[in-house]
Amino acid sequence: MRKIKYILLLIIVMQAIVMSPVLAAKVHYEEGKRVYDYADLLTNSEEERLEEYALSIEDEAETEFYILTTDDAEGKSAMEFADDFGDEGNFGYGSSENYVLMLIDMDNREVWISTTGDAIDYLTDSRIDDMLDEIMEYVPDDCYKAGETYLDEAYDYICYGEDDGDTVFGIVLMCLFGSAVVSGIVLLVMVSGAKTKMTVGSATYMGAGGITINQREDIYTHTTTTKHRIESSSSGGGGSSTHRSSSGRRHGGGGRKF
Amino acid sequence: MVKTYKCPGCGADMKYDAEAKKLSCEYCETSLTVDEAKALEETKQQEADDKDSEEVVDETNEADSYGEAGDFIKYKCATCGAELMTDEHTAATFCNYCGSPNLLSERIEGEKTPAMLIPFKITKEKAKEIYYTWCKKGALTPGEFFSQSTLEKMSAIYVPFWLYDYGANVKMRAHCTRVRSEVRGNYRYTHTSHYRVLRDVSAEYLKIPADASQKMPDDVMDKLEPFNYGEMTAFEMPYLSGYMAEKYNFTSEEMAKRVEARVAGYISQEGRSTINGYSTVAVTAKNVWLAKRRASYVMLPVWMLTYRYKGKEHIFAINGQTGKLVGKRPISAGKCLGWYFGMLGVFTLISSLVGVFVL
Repeated sequence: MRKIKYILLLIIVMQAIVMSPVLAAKVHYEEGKRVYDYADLLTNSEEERLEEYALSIEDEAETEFYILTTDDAEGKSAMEFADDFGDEGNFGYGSSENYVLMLIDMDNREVWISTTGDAIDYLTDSRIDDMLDEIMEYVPDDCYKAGETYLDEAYDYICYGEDDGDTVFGIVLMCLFGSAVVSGIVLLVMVSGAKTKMTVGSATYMGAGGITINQREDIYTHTTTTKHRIESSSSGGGGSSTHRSSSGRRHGGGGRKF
Repeated sequence: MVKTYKCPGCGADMKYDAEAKKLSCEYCETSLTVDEAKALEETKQQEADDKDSEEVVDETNEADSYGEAGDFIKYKCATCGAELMTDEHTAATFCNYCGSPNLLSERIEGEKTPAMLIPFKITKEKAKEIYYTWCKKGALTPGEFFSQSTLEKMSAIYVPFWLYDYGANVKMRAHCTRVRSEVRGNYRYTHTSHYRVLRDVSAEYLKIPADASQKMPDDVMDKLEPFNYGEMTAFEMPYLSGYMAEKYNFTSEEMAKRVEARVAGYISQEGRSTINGYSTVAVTAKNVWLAKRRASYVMLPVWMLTYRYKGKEHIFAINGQTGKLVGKRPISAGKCLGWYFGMLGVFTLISSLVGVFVL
């Protein structure tokens, strides 16, 4: 019995050793690697520069930034391919799962930006749309520029917080506008508060006997019934739409064909 | 007949003191209760009548109030003999020349004598203080409204009121519903039960006041309520010494309409409040029946201040018993602008600082 157990274990180990080159051939995950250029759209020096840029911003953003290119989507859609790639590589800053991944998928001819963790909330649908507007100016002719634009934008949005990006002047202007409204309301309250109100009522002058109820009738007559189909509630605008990848993880994101 | 109450000690004018609740002389500190003053006045009157009853009786009447010029009546000050004019409704005032209190007693004698009166409890100092603190509270009140010279213009007036007792009854018919809903499958079922509701409610309302003087704005007088009727005493002339007083312009019948509208509102409200426990209540028919039980003529104490500001008249009144103030603080445009831009500056600064540093 014991021998059989060892043999079984041996077979499993052997299997793993034999299978690993196959897996490795498909995906070369490497610790600290941020740019996976399988479609070879970037030169080596471009790859290095993007790699460096991505690493330099991730601590401040507490988010990892990946760039992935492929010319074989393995029959998946761009979204599925991007999500699965991140899930399998177990990407995420520190112990979190905060990362953003841009896939340039030459197979589906689509750019997909995939988000997880906190990045989902920072990169809302409308922001991803804005990012894609800029990125698509360079895809597929200048993928280095596309990568750089993607890192610039994603970093800006995430480091700026969940609010719309504004300058100090913009904030002051907004505060001025808000204060103008609030001051107006306060002033209105001050102006209207100057009047005395009537404070006596029915109870003030009512005799000690109170009210006498001479007749009290509540007669049930009939019942009417109406029915309505229950409408499913639709979600409000703004925010980020999410989906589950095949591994079950929650992803946000958006893409565009080229 | 013009009356003043003279100090038995020094002969100076005596005035009713709201704090001491007595008539007092400001020179020799003699004080008399209302009953004592009344008794003293009656003996004096008796003596005077005894002395020159035959010769002067007709002349006194003529001399005291003779000639009517439109709404104004001439009379002679009982202290200095100056000829003065008042309008026909004034019952107590001051001589323009010597400042002594003049009580035009025939204006409130006979059937026009008030049955009851609530004496002033708020002194002039207290009234000024109440008004001053109230004005101060209004950040937008122009400064001249609480200057000393304005405060001095405040006058204490006994305002004639009718107090009405009413029996009230309301019969109401209402259509009410109770709504219950349930979900079955993809549908929501709403069941509405309908009820026919009838109510017959009655109540007694006692001593509802309505001011009977034309000069006093009704809305201001209404807001002075409530008065504490527990402190009401039988009317005596000496209470008016040192105060202004008006006699009523409107009879109890003339004022009844206003009070009836009020009572009808009250009883309807009471009737409606007995209908509860429904999702919706729609009153379909309402019938109010009122019975006037009694109306009595009383004088209630009011501090008044009328002030003209930028062509508009502002009226302030203080309940002379409870100190409740009625009035609308005037608004200074300059102060409004100052506050607006001040607040704008401060709010903008604070929110910007918070905004820039936190975000």
